[in-house]
Amino acid sequence: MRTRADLLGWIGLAGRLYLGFVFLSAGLAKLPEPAITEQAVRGYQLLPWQLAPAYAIAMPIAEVVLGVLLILGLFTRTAAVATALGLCSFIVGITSAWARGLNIDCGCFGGGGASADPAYLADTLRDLGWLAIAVYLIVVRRTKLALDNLLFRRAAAPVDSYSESSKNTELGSST
Amino acid sequence: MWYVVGLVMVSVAVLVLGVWFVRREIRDEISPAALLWTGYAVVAAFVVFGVLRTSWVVLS
Repeated sequence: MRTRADLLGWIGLAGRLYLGFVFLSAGLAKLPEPAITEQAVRGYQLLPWQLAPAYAIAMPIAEVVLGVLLILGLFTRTAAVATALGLCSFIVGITSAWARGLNIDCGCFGGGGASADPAYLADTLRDLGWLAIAVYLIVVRRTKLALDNLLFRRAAAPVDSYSESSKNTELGSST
Repeated sequence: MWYVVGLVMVSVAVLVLGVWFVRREIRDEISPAALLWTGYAVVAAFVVFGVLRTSWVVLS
């Protein structure tokens, strides 16, 4: 029998896989080209100059790890929190470059640096959409076909055992 | 200037929502309270640092 929790779980699975593949592909696109990623990072003029090389290496690795965790459904909510923070930092980077009048490419999937035709609005809206998915994964607690469900079966309380107030506030519904 | 004002307002809202979220998780006994508040502190530190750094860069 299909319940509301089942439906939310399947939606969560779709969001997890989508966001996971986005992060995995973004990380894999940047990983072999640290010099270009470093140039993209410097284009934002946000981080200290000396930190750019380390960030250019660490960020793609983090994206790949988060992508794999989301796809597998392992430590899903922690991965979703980290993903949301990463997306917030990307949004702040893009919008601050926009506010300062810089002309750069976001470098989200490789490339980056100076650009004659930056797409700040499109990049921001896209990242906001992905942020919404990450927030959903944080709030929904359980998704379908996740390794979490196998490994932490006892730790996570089943939906039916939630308190009444919890059911009412789940995903901000009802109240 | 307005960008920084907006950034600070959104960040404060995020931190307040974070407190609501952590309290809800504690109430529903999803994870230990100490772990949740520690996680919140890490996230809050990241947010505050990001806001301060970005504000300084934008205003300078």
